[in-house]
Amino acid sequence: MKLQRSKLSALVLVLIMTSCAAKNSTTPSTPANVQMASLSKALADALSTASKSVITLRDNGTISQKETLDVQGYILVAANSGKQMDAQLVSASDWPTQKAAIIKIWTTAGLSTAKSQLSPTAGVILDTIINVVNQILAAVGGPAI
Amino acid sequence: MNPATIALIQLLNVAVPGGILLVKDIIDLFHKYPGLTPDQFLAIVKEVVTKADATYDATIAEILADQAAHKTP
Repeated sequence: MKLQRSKLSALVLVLIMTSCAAKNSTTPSTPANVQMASLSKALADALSTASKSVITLRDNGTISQKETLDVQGYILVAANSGKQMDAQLVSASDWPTQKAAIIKIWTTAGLSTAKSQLSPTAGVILDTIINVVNQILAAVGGPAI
Repeated sequence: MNPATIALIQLLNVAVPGGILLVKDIIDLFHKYPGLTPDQFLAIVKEVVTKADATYDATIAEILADQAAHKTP
């Protein structure tokens, strides 16, 4: 009797899986943590490029050393925030807890106010970073910065 | 539900932070990453995050080195 019930449960599960698979096989969603891990790598790459760009702009005289230090300060904030986000992604917390923590990390980082203090040339570098951060916030349902 | 299915769902709950997975979520995972075991799936997520962390660390080191080299006396 117990064995029959077990077999019946397995059969029901297979039927449910098969019917759902038929409906969802065309557009499978990317698991949230895979999407977030990919976005974190994209942000890390954007920060690396930004760091090299600002040094080049300083070295060729386009921006001042003070402005270089300002932009580097924001890149450091973003890099450390990215590391905090990574720690969340591999933590044992459930997804709603991780999402809330990730939103808090980025909305308190102060990157949005930073741009107003920079020249247009340096501001463009920060734009690329803010763009990726906004993709991250959109993925977790947070507000754009 | 047979023990293998229960074990699979438990493993997926570890692999995917999102609490209890729906059957649809499990199907999506296996369609998106066919042939991957839950352990392999988790390993991929961790590998991407580890690479991101290494890039963050390299950028931080680059900036600190540049700032040290351009410190005004």
